[in-house]
Amino acid sequence: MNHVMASNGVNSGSLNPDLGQIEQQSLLQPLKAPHQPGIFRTLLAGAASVAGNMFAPGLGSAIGSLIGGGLGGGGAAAAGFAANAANLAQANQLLAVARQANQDEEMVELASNLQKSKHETFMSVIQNIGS
Amino acid sequence: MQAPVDEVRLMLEVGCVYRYARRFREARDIFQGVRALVPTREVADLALAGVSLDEGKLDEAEDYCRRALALNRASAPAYAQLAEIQLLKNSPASARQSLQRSLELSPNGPSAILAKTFLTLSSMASKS
Repeated sequence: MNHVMASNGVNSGSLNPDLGQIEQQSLLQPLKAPHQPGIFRTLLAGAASVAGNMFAPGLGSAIGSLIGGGLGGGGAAAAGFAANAANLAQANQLLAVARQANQDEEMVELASNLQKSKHETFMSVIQNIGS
Repeated sequence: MQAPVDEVRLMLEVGCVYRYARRFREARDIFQGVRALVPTREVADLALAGVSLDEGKLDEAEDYCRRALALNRASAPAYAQLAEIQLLKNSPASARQSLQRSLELSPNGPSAILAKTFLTLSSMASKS
């Protein structure tokens, strides 16, 4: 009789002769290396990541990890796209703030130059008073 | 009566300091004093126009400007000042005419820089 001690110490061999084999397999499975993506797939993922990030920050990384096998299943993909959409919205908001800041800076500079020109114009009139 | 030029200049500069400090009453008193001392020069009216402009009294500012121009038709700064008032009164066409006149009278120098800045502003205002 084939007696195999399970991980919990219970002698399961007497209950079912195949159970010992199954348990052996389950003990060995975690030791196997997970499936690694091929070189082409890794390169493609990298390229997609870079290209995607050029157009929309965050999008490329999501696509890259999808192609590269970083995420598994439809749920993970959906989560990736949702996160990407949030990143995109955040990036757009930042862009709008940056644009506004640039406009404000230009307006402040314009106002400053205007005041300077007005002062210098009046000073030139004052200087010419004796002529 | 011939007023000493240095004293008049000093008065005008002190008046400017008061104006920038937004102490308009003191600035006005000084510029009116200058006007009494040198009634034939446009500088006091121009300064008074600036004070009225800062106070938001656009009609009064325009009157002072026109008075300055009556004293000196070739004053480029007076035309630039008038253009600013016209821009604030929402008359961009008149402002552009005044600015062109200012640039014709003085194509270089501080008043030209001011006129060019106002021209840029008026074109920006007409676009938006």
